[in-house]
Order: sequence, then C-alpha cells, then structure tokens
Amino acid sequence: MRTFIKLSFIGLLVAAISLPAKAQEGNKETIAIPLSSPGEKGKLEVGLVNGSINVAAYDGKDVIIEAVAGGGKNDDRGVVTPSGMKRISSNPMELEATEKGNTVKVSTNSWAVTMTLNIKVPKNFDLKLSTVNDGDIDVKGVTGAHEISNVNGEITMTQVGGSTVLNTVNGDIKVTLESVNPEAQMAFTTLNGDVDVTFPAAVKATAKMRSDRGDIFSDFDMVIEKSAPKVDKSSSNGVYKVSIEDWVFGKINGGGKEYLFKTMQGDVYIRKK
Amino acid sequence: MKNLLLIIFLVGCFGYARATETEKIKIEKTLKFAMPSPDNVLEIYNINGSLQIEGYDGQEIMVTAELTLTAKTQELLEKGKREMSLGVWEDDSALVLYNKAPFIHNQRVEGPCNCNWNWGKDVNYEFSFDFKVKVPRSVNLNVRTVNDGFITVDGMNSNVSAHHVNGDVTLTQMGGSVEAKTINGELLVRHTKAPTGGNSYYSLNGDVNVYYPGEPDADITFKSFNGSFYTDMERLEVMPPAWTKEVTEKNGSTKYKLTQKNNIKVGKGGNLLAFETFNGDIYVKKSK
Repeated sequence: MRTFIKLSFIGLLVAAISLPAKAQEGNKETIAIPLSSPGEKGKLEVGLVNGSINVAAYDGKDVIIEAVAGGGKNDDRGVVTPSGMKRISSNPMELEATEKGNTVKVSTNSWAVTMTLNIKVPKNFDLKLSTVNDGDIDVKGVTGAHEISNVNGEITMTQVGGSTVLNTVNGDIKVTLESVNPEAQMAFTTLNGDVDVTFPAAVKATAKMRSDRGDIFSDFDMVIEKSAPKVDKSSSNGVYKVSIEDWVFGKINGGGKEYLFKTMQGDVYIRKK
Repeated sequence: MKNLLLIIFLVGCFGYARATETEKIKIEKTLKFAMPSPDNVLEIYNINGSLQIEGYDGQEIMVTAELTLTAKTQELLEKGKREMSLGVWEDDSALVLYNKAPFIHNQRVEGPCNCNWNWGKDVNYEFSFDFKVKVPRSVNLNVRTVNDGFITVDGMNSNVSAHHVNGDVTLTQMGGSVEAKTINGELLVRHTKAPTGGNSYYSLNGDVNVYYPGEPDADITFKSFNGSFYTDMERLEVMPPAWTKEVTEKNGSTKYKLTQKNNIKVGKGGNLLAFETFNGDIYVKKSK
C-alpha cells in the first residue's frame, strides 16, 4: 500500500509536468494516394471550414497529404466538470480522401477541429480549394485550372500556371503566374484586402478593374478606357433609385480574355514579370 | 360534454385492451457444458426482452426464461405458442440460447443467409423473452438483445461481451475482460480487478460510466462526437493521438480514411481500454 501511495504520488508529479507538453507532439500523419492514371493530369478538391491548405508541386506521381491537427483556438466551452474529475478535451481529427479517375476529393471534420493540410501534387494538376476560418491557402508551382476561395484569410500563389479564379473576403490575394492559358478568363476578387497579381510580360488580356476605396497600380502599358458610368434607374412608389457602376478597363498587349480585379478596401496591383 | 367524451375514451380503451390476448409461459432449463474448459461460452441471442445474468459458485447453468406472447385474437396467440420457442444449441465449447421461430434466422446456429425478415406479414403477434440465468463464474458470456428491457450481468470472472440496442447495459462485479455496447442506452461497468488485456465500451446515445478499483495501468483511447471524457485518475499522461489508416475500394474509386483517437496513458500503460460515444459523456472513475 505504501509503495502504491508513493507510486501514485510520483505519477501525480509526472502527470502535472507532462500534461500540457505531450499533447502537441505527433499530431500529424501522412497518407499517399496513388492516381488511377499516373502521369496524367489530375484534380484535387479540398474544402475546409477551419484551417489552412498548402499545396505544392513535386516530381512524384502520387498525391501526398500531410494532415496536422490542431492549431486553432482551444475549445473550452465552459463545461462544468463533475466534482473531483478532470475533463480531457476530445477533438480527434478525421480525414477521408477518395480517388476516382485521377480526381482526389478530400473531406474532413474541420467543422469541429482546426487543421492544416500540407499536400504535394504532381506539377500538372487542377485545384479546387476552399476554407472559411482560421487559415490561409498557399499554392506553389502547380499548373492547371485553379478555383480557390477563402473567407477570413489570404490566398497566396507562387510560380503557378494556367488559369486562376480566386475569391476571398477578409484577406489579401497575391499571385505570381509563370504562364497563362490564353483561352481562359480569370478573376481576382476580395473585399477587405489588396489584390496583387504578377503576369508574364507577354500576356494578352483585357483587365476589368475596380477598387472602391483604394487605387489601381500597374507597370503594364495599358490602353485605359474608363467606361462611362453605367446608371441604373429604378423606381417604385414614386421613389427613384440610382446606382452607378464604375469600372476601369485596360487592354494589355492589345487585349484578350477578360481578367477581373476587384476589391473594396484595398489596392489593386497588376505587375509585369 | 367533457364527461361524455371521457367515458367514450375509457370505453374505447377498455375495448382495445379486451381485444388483446396475453399469455406468459415460463421455461426452465438446467444445462451443462459437454466438455468443461476455460473456453466454455454461454451465448444468448434475444430479440425482445431483458437479460439478467448472475454468476454463482455452482457448476450448472440455470435458465429461467419467461416468454410473453401478445396477440389480437386467441387464434393468433395459439399460432404464437406453436411457433415460438426457446432454442438450445451446443457444440464442443459453446451453449447457445436463442429465439426459435420460422421467421427468425439465427446465423450463429443456422449459418449465414441473405433472407429478409418480414415482420409485418408473417408475425402477427408480439413476443418477448425475459431471461434470468445463473451461471458458473468462470463461463464466458456472449449475450445480445435488441428491444425492451435491459441487460444486467453480475459477479463474473470470465470474459463478458454484452450488446444491447434499445436499452441499458449494467455490468457489476466484473473480474474479467469486458466488451460492452449499446446504441440507445446507458452503459455502466464496475470492475473488481484491474484489467488484464483489453476492454471496450461503446454507447451511441448514452453515457458510459466505468469504475475500476484504484488506478489500473492502462492505455486509454477515447472518441466522442458531442461528449467529453472525464476521469478522476491522477497518474495520467496525455499521449499524442493515435492515428489509424484505412483503405477501401468500391466501384473504381479508392477511399483513404485517416482517423485520430485520443490516447491517454495511466500509470505504466499496457492494457488497452477503448471508450467511444457519440452523444454521451465518458466517465472513468476509481471505485470507492
């Protein structure tokens, strides 16, 4: 009995020391997903509620997902603990990836657990990524048709190619395109943040730009035509409503597909590489 | 007017009650294993009704099963009496008690089948078995029921597996390993010994309450959707969560599943205790 007491006393000490430290370790796991037709173009679809997504191209044939749990705010919902008992928080993460015909769809329980997904894909890959809270989206070196949305965070893309449709609400958009698909339209929109896009020097496009409370900058020689404000009048019950839409159009290298740049609280930068 | 309505209602109830016939049949059996061994297992596959099982210091298995049949007419009741019986089946190590009727297929006894149960058409009476069983403490148990009632097991030194669906599972004075599961019910287990080997506890919509004498050395995993894990053990070490990987293939698509389970080491660790709920809380306590 005495040894038991001693043991439990030591155990208590150990517990007191190690409780906070160990919980953060080993919180990640990797899974490799082979494609049905390796070497051919594929597509990755990831939608999160809480967390970040980082995608990078690499010289392999599989899609490799590294899931890192945690990183969000502690979820202590003010639970009343029964007397003499400790509550040990329970929020294990779950991830499910389905591969069919070179399309990899990832679903998670990120509505409950904040997580970060670090994903490696072959260079030629289409991406459809989205998140809402507590995270940014970062893409490196992937060429394809990309459709990316965030709500409370940034979208950053470097050395990408193809076409991009990007949308966020509270965050910056920063993109460097190495090559563009001349057949595709693109869009870069945010509400509270800057839009900063770098194109190859030879890109042909018609930029449709607007910043409600900021400025538009570019080092391309654009042929600017400020559209005459389009006035919409509507009336009901003898009250007139007049709304004015004010866009700036600029032809880059003679014009081409329409690229949309829009922000409300922020600046627009269109850069030449 | 109100009184008149009440009278009509009461008369209606009375008429309805009159229209059902009920009969209770008591079945008593004393059973013994053909070859006594530590692998002896008593299996009960019940559908409706409670299981009350008690370990004792004897050698025989004493079964009292009360079959309750309810039907709308006397003829249907007679049909029930002809069809429904307590099945007993045995092999070298197992004794199996089950609900025996033409519309019940017991896979344990009759082997696998892909038959469909057709309750609405074939079964026009209600039945339930309430079991009271006395078992030698060393006999392993594997008991199941689905509706109505509860499962209680008391005073066993063997491996006990108890599954319910719509009711509570209460296991007390457990000296051996436990595998307990229910869907819509509370789970309560009281152990008299520290675990040797693995135990698992699951309830979908109820709480799980488990008592151990003192603090056993154990590795605890737990998972809950809406609930939390509470314990009054002190020699705890929260370990990195354990990951499991699963790959399944279906219709040309491959699914990769990665799940994490919380992992706690108590004392030196060793015995794996797995807890899982969906809506309930988990409580692991030192018994007093």
